[in-house]
Amino acid sequence: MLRINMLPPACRQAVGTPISVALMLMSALGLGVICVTAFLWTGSQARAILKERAAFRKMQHRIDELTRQRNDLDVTLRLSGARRDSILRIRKKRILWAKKLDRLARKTPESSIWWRTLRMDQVDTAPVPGSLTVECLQKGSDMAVMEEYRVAIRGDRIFWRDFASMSPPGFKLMEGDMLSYALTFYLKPFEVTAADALPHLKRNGGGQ
Amino acid sequence: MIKNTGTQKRALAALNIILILLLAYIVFEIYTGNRKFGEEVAAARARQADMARLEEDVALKNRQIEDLEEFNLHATAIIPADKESTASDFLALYGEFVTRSGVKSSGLQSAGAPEGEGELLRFRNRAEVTGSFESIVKFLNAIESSGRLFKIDGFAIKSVKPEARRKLPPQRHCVVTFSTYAFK
Repeated sequence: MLRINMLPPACRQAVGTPISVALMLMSALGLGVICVTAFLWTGSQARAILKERAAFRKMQHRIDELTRQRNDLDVTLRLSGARRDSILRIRKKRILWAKKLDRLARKTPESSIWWRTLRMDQVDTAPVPGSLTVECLQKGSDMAVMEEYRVAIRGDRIFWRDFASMSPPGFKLMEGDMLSYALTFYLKPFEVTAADALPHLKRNGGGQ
Repeated sequence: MIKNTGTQKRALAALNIILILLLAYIVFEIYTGNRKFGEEVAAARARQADMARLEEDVALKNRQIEDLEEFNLHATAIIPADKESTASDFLALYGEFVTRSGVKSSGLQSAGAPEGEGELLRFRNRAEVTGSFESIVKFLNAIESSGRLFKIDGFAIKSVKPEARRKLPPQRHCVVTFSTYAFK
């Protein structure tokens, strides 16, 4: 049977989709695909970013912890360092006098020189931190004996180590052919340096 | 049908516009997000370098503290941690010094209030002893070689009164001032 469309061409139902509609539909589809892809890609990126951010946050916590730890260590170091410095300062100013007196006694001729008094005063803060004064009596008036005694004392390294100078020679002639004189030894100023650190204390212990 | 085709066209055009706008929004979000995250990453990388430095710093300070702790451990052996133990141990030690050296002690007193010396407290003492020169030197040596930290600040050694001079070896009188220390 033959079917005839009697409608005018403009009113006839289109046989296929018009090209303009088809183009728009295709572009809409294309854009839709791009949008979905972009959305999915952005989602995966976001997940990676969040993961990385979590790692950074963890690092941030570690940094905060390290900073706190360092600050605590700084306080401990300051306190312990101050203690160490105080001890080193004291030890630097500490002179072993027994040893010095022993050396001085060895240098003193038993038969011709006697000590009347020995006096030592150590003032840690003074520019000249103190002195040792020995008042002597000498048998005979030979000044060479006195001079030899002075030279011998000065030549003793252990005794002389902490001293800077000795009083100039002087004497008084006493009855009975005796000389009376005083020898004063002035201490060196004290200096505490970094080289006086730990080994000094470890090696010598508390006493010596 | 004509109307339907027109509506379809308008609907598709609208859909296209919405999709373009959505795409533009996504692109914009990605761009701004990337930029912000890029800044965050740069800051984090800089902090990563900080962290390495901090770790080194902490390790170094730990080593320094180990050294200091070793020092302080030794220091606590020669310096009492408090005033009470300073006082109680001191008399026993002084008795030992006198016995070991063979001098006769005629006095011991505190020479003033404790003074602060850095992180330590200093206690000055004044002792009077009599004996031969050798025993006095031994007494001074006992003070100086004690397990505790002592420092001799001064001394005066004189011959004793004429009536005692006949005793051999010759007797001398010594006044010695010395300091002992405690942690604050």
